[in-house]
Parts: sequence; structure tokens; C-alpha cells
Amino acid sequence: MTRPFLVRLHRAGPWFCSTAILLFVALSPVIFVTASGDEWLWRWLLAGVPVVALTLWLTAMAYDRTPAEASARSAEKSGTPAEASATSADLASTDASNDASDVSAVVGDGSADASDASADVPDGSADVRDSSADVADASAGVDGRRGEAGMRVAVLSLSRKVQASAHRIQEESTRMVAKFPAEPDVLEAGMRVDHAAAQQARLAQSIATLCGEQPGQHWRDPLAIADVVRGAAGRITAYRRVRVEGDPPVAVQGAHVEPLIHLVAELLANATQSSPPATEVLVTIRSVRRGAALEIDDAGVGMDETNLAWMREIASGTRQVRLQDLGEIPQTGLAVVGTYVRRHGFRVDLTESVHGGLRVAVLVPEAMTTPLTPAVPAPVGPRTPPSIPVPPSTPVPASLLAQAPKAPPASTTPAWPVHNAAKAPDPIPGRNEPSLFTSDGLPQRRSKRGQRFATGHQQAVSQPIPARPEPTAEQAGAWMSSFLSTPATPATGTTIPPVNDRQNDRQNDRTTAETDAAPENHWRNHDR
Amino acid sequence: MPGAREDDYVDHPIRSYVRTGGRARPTHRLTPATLLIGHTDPASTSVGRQEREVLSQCLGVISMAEIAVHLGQPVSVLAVIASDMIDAGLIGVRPDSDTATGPSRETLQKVLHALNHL
Repeated sequence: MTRPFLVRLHRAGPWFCSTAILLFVALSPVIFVTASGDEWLWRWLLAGVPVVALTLWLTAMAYDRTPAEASARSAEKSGTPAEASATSADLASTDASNDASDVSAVVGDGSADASDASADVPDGSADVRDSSADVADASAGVDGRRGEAGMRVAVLSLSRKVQASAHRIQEESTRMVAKFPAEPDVLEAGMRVDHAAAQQARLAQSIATLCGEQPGQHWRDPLAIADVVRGAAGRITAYRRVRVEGDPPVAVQGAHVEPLIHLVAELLANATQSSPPATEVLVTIRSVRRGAALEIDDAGVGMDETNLAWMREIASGTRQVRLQDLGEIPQTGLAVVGTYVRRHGFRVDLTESVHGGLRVAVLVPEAMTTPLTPAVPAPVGPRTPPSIPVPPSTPVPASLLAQAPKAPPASTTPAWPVHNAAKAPDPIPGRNEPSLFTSDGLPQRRSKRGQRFATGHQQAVSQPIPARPEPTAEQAGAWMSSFLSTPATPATGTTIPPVNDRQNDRQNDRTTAETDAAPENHWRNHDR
Repeated sequence: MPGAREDDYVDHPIRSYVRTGGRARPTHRLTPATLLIGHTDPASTSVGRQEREVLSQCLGVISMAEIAVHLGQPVSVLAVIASDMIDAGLIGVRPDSDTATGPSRETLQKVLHALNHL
């Protein structure tokens, strides 16, 4: 309400001031000299000084209050759209997760979202310009910080949007590839799209990180450190040049997987960019006493002492580089690395390598690692995987049909095709091999799924069963003849066990597939 | 994955182009129904992590489609990886798994003929 008056006062201040002084100078001799004789000087001074002081004070007040209010207004202005865009980003991400089931909806959503984001951009930048002009006007520290915070929030939410859309592109390309399992061309195109989107997502995540936020991606489960490096390699342009050596049985805990992937990706990007294109970037992974150590060596020309010291300060987190410090040619890589180092407690150091390039050493502290349980249990004793007689059953109906009539009716072979049977006198070669027969004497499908996820059940079934002789040729012949003579729906009795076996097998398949459903959601923890 | 539902997309930190080194064309013709047999101990330290993952699925005879589902990868990606492993002698294709070696055309025609006259 008072604002128009103050603005008017602000504008009229100088005029008012000078007019008042001129009037006083012009009129005072007329009033005072003609009115009284000798004491005019004192009266002139007594009346004039307060008038001039009052005028100056009013003018000064007008100058003081108007810019302060203007900057406050600008802070309000910049704050509101930032909040609004943050909310819309939230909405967009919820939308994305809700609509993930519908491809076309997602695509439409994505483009709508993208246009939304681009529509936001001019708004945001105009606002930023406005507020920065006001801030310069005001030259008040507190207001500057408020404007900075608003800008940071806006940039953060925009980067989140870009990252979400990049991940959606990756998702769509993966779906496309999965839809055409026999088309290498589709796979190639999908890979290119995926690769480009991965780099876009990395850049967006770098911006978010420099705004002081956590990465947009999260992985729940631990990931082997060698896989962390491979995941990181996938986010840089020249991923083919990255060579990984060493694979210690160490995994990184889920909460630290994404920060480490991003950190390593930035280091790999630096290494590949600063070395000749024909050279490899070597990543050596070792398990050390204090955790896991990565060393990234490039074959570049390195850098001079001053630069190296500067870069080392940034990468080790000693010198903080914020978004506004990046400058006209922004170099986000080491700044992101330093941010993660400060926030998560990784240790990073840059040294000059003996052969000229740079060597970056990364230590992942032990508290962030977890020992890696081998995915494959090491068999006790000599392992003879090919010796397992394989029942002719697969979940693929086509191959089932194709193989069924071809079960060997020969005299010396077992009832079903045996791979390398000569080496396998004992069908149960080791403790880790599950029993091949159930307690009912039915052949049991040897499935990795069963081993991995239902070991308890399998052991319970297999324990009381000692080694069983292989079926003889006569049994094989009986099986063949029964198979060929049995109508399409065999009796459920036990007179024709092999046919029953097959049913049992398929049932097994189904049940294992069902029990598998949960563990196969291994990576369904991707939170966007 | 063929027949995959729309909502079963599972993201993985290791992208497919990293797994195959950017190659999309397998050196062998492997279909989802192709059966693979492991020739190497998955616990062997001489093979990489990715190969160990595939080998750990190939303890018996297993189809490409099954391995792909277990590893959460598209069949076409697995085909590239498996082709390399076949070339390296780590795994083999079960010879009679190919549908091309199925019953001869005459047999099928006879069956069809008989079915038509049922």
C-alpha cells in the first residue's frame, strides 16, 4: 500500500530537495531582510537549517526504503516459481512411476514432461535475470543468498527432470531390445540410444550433485566393486577404452553404489578425455586392508605441478566447487568427485604416473564394503558338470517336441541323452550337486534356480536318497515304447513313470519359476 | 525377454553395451530355444565375472531363454556374450537342440496326412 507513495517519493526526491533549497535561498532574503533589520542572519539560519535537514532526511529515507523493498519483492518472486517447479517435478516423477506400465502413455508423458521442462526454462531464466539485477541493485548479502537458494532449487529440479527423462529413454530402449530377441540391428540401435541417454543422465546428476543433493538413482543391493567400475564405464563416451583388472570378492553396500559409480564415471571420463583416443584407461582393483582400492591410470600427458595441486585439492574435497563457481567453461568432473568425497567419505588422490599420465587412487573405506558371497558355490572335490544325465525337458515347448521322439533307443546309452557319459559313472558326483532323483524315484530336474533359491527344500528331498544306478537300456526302451504308445493324456498312475516324470518336471519348472519371481526382482530397486 | 510384461522392467547398473563391448552381432546363430551346456567350472578364476554368471546357469543343459530370464538380460544381449563364450570353449551348444535337425519333411508330411484322415 505504501509502496506507490515511496516509489513516487523516490523518484521525486531529488527534485523536491533541490526545489526546496532553491525556494528557500530565493525567498529568505525577501522575507527576513525586509521584515527585520539587524538580526536577519540568525533568523535566516535558524529557519533554513531545519528545512534543509528535513528535506535531505526525507530524500535519504526514500532512497533507503525503496530498493530494500524491491529486493525483498524479487526474493519472493524467485522463491515462488522454484517451489512450484519442485512440486511439478515431484508430480512428474510420481506420474512416471505410475505410468511405467503403459509404453505409449509413458512416451506421451515423457514428451509432455520435456516440453513442460522447456517451457519452464525461459520462465526460470527470466526470473533469475530479474532477481540477479535486483540483487546487484541492492548489494545486500542476505538477499543475495536468498536469491541464490532459489536459483539452486530451480536448477536442481530441472536437472532432476532431465535425469528422469533420460532414464525413461533408457527404459524404453531396453524394452525395445527385449521385444526383438533375434534382431541384432534393434539391439545395436537400442545400445546407442541407451548409451547416449546414460551420458545425459550422468550430466544431469552431476548438476544435482553440485547443487548439494543426493544422486537421483538408488540401488538397494550391494554390487561387486568390479561391476561398479563396469557400471561407471557405461556412463562415459569412450567406454570401450576402459580395461578393468582385478576382481576381489568385495562388494559395495547399496547406499554407496550410486555415488561410487558416479564418482568413478567422472574420473574415467577425465581419464579418457585427457589421453590419446587409441590408448586404454586401466582400472586396477585391489582389496586392501582398509577397504577396496581403485587405481585409474591414463596414458595422457599429465599436468604441471600447479595445476595438479589445484586439481588434487578439488578432487580430494578440500576445495569446494559449487555450481556458481564453475564459470563459462564448466568442468564438473572433479568438482563432483570432491562433493562425493566430502559427503560420503571416499578418499581420492591424484598423482603423476611414472609414464607421464595421471594416476587417480580411490579408496572405498571398509565400512562401505561388504564381503562378496560367491554367486556360484565352489564345488567340493572334482566337479564334473557334464556328467549329469539330463532329462529331456526344457521349458521351451518347441524343443520338448523336437527332442522327445529322439530319446535314444540304443542299447548302451541311458534312458535319456547323457552328455559325456563315459566320464560319469556316478550320477551324484559331489555334495553340492543336488540329487537327481526324488524320493519317489522320479528324475529331478537339475535347476540352478532350485540350487540358489530353494536349497533347503532340495536338500530335504534329496537327503535320504543314496546314489541310484543309471537306468538300463531296457528301461530306456520301455520308456520309449511307453512314450510312443501312450495317448496324449497319460494316466496319472505310476505304470509309466517316465511320462509322469516329464509332467513332474514341467510342474517343477512352474513352481521354480514362481518361487523365482521374487529373487528376480533383484534390481527392481531403482528409485527415480 | 520375449513375452515380457510391460511392468517387469528391471534396471541394472551395468548396461548391455558394456557387457558386449558395444557389439550387437553374435558370431553364432543362437535362438531363445538353443540349449547350452557348460564346459567350464564356474568357480574357475580364469574367467570374468560375466562369464561366471552365465556358467553358473549352465550347470546342466539350459536354454538361452532361461539364462536370459535368470540374468535379467535380453536374449539378444546374451546371444553376443554366449557366442564369445562358445568361441572361447567355455560353453557348448547342445548339438541336437536345433529345431533344424528335427523330423524330416517326409515324416511331418506323413503325420499331417494321417492327422487329416483321422
